[in-house]
Amino acid sequence: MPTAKETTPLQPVAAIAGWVFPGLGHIVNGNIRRGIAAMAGVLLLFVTGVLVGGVDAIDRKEDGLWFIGQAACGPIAFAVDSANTAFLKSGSAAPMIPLPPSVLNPQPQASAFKGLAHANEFGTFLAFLAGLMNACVILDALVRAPRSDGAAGSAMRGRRADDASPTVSANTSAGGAA
Amino acid sequence: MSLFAIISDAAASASDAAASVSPILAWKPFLQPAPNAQHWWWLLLIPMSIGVSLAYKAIRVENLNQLPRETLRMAAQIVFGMIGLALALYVLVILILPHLPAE
Repeated sequence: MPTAKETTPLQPVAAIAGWVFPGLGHIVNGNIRRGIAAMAGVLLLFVTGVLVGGVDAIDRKEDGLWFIGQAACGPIAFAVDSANTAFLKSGSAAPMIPLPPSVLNPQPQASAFKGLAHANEFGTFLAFLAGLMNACVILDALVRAPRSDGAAGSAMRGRRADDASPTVSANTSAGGAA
Repeated sequence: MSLFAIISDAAASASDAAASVSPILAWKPFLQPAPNAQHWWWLLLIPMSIGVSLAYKAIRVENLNQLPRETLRMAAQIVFGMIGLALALYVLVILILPHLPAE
């Protein structure tokens, strides 16, 4: 009979899947509703960020520190960064505008679609926030027991059972025995 | 500047943004930054609070049937908390600090 102190082994495959695509870690572990909800939350932040700031909201070279957090969203962050390089920095999407020369770069240029001010700031920030939330989702997928949502969605078995109240733990144990 | 004037300015700038249709028509979503974001950036608090709440509550609630209610509750807490912070900073910066002695 499972107890509240019982622990489940770590789920590294689920954690990797959660990085490959937000929420996928829970889905491959059988916690489908939880994974879809987490996916919706992370993607809402990420898509809103790219919608507001354009693909320039994710820039691995110019916004390297922000990209560390954004990269926690997984390959979609790298894909948007690649789109930034392919469409904006190459000049294929919009004409390049010459900028004032500097010591390091005598002939600097930027795309006419480059994000500036509020649009770029909030786009970058929302994509960064999506990465931070996905890091939390990945950690949860790592420690959550497979198929632990249960029919009622309240079966907190395994490692996460420490969070449950005694009443819930007792119900869980009874449900597990049944 | 009074609180009413600030709210009036915000409403006026929002209506200006709605009236400027031509930049929106020329906008290429996901490729180009959203037009006139300086006028409506504060509205981004709503999707931000909903996204953070949904992702957080998805991994925290025990019963997933409570997820919509818990998400809306946390999003409302974030929004009203931000409004409260804004009001507190308004009182501090606009009303209190100007009345303090310079030295």
